[in-house]
Amino acid sequence: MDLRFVALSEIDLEDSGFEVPSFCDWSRLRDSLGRFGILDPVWLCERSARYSVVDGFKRLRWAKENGSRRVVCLIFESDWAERDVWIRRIEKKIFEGDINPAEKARIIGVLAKLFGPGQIPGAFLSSLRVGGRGETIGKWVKLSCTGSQMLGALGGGELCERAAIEIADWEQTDLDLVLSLLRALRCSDSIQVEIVERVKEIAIREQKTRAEVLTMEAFGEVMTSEELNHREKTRLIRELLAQLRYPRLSWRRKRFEQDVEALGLPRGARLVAPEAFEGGGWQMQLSFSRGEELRKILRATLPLVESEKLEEILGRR
Amino acid sequence: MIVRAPRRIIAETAVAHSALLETLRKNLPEASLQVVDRIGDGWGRSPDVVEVVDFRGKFLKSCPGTRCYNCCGYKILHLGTQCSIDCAYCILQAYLNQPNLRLFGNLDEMFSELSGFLSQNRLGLHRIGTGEFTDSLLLDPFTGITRLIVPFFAKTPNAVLELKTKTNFIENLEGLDHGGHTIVAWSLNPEEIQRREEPLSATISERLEAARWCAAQGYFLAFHFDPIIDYARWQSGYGQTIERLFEAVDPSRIVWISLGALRFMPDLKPIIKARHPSSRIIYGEFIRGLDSKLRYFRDIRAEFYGFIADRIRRADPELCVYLCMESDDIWRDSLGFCPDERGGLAPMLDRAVEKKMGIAPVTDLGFGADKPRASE
Repeated sequence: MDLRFVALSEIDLEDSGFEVPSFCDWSRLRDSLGRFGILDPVWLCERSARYSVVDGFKRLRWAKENGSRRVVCLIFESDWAERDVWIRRIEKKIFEGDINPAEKARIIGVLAKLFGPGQIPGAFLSSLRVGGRGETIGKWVKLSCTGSQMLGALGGGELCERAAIEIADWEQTDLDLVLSLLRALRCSDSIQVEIVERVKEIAIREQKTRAEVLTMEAFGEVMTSEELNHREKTRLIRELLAQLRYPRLSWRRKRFEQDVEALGLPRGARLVAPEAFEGGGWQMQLSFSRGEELRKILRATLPLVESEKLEEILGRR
Repeated sequence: MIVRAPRRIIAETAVAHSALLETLRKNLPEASLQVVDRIGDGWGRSPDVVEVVDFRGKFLKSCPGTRCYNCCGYKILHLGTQCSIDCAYCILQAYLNQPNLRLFGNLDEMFSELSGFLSQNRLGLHRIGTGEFTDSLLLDPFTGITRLIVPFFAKTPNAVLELKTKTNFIENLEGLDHGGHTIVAWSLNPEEIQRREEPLSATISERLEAARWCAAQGYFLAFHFDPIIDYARWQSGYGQTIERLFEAVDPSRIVWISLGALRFMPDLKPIIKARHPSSRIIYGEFIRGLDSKLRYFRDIRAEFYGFIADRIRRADPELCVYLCMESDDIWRDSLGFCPDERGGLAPMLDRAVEKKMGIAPVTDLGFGADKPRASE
């Protein structure tokens, strides 16, 4: 390796073979470069007539934009094997920390090529916080091939890592649809995972494609509404998915709510079903602030409790 | 059904001269034998291996049951672990540290523990089964264990043995002196489910044919619709299996039929997904039950049980039908009563044994309370 100044004209700025795109905003780096210039040498390697960039794509972009003619570079001479250059590139990236999921996907994709998916050294995987199971590695590798739209969402924080892993092996049409849904909902990581899992399970249950689930009319109505904000849309989409995933339970819940309403319990009395109607743990909750209020609630509640309607509610299927 | 004969036997030194290993070697002449001091957990999974270990635990255990649901008070005779039938829903898949077929070679200790238990518990009736941690008959063609335990139970005054299987490996039962104390039981499902989720097991026709043969040999029978699986055509599927069941066997030989809908620990879900990617069973409408297992939403379960029990009652209204691990409200909803109204589930099953097999629970030893005679 050699450290020296290299003219920009000697560098192939179009060669992105070693790039690990972060897909995130780099204005902070721009500020720093503007104030102090390039502090950390760019890495290049001799591959053809011009140098290929190994590390420092953004710095070089900045240098070009700002009219720099030469930059300080660390050169991997032509006798360096590409694999060894990559390993050093990845090692550096890991030690710099703050690797975002899009970069992580690219790195694992490269490591899988260099070592074989089942042979990636554990030290890399543990530094990247990735389990060594073949299935997990396979999903990351697929993720690395999903294209800039998906990786952009991942690097830009619109899509969380767990949801991305879940959808890594989806067809492009399904990916585009779910990505546009999640982008519009702007929901938390756990809700993203819930939505993705529900869509997947509903498709399998109903023997539909994921695209068919994602383009259901009811979803369209929610997503195109101009009156609902993204939180309300998220709530409604989750409700719709829950109804589709648990149709019988949803029907029973709805029916229970209607029945309780029809029973006409007084204010302050509430009938609570057991979780998922499982077991016999029904509850009647009474809320009051004075003794007289409690007596009033009880007088109004007792005839309803004695009626056949209650048995119907408890036993309804 | 064709069983894949193990090609490698690994035995622990302590059981290297056991009768079980001798039988295995005789019946598996092609299999290699490796003797090791101790077979630990975590050996690689191989369908060709059968391990013979010196079992240090309790051979006889109470059915683990599950809190909040009615348990039948069954006892498990623990003879080995794992099963190579590899049904999609099987809980044994979760025992990742012991993935191979494993037999307990110290059968003399098993019989001694069993005899000790029965002589110390001479009151009541003991329903004992071997099919909890493995299939009761899967390896029987090679081990011949039934030729030892069936005659043993014939001599017990107040115990019955239930052999639960999804195979048709019944040859060893021929000509045994069972004394009317052995129930041979099959798990049943619609043909479609058998093909999809239990593809390596005996077909439903093979199971029913085996049941008919056992009945002809004087054995009593039981059937377990467990796990009942939700799918689009479940009513016609289960209906047809029930019809075929009663065409194949005389209901008077059936001691009981149990019903249990698919349930599993949440940790099993990713395992099923990975090991049986084409199976759709984990995508049913499951909720977390009171015991933390995933179970079908209660209305679905109640509908299954009500339908199947009704079809069974059409064939024999007196036949003992019970629910495995269900709460009183599901019992009432589907069968019209709960076990407590009939003295509890265990006594219900004891009465079925008494009625069908003529083996009554011992209530009095003839010398006052359960006190041993001076000469004993």
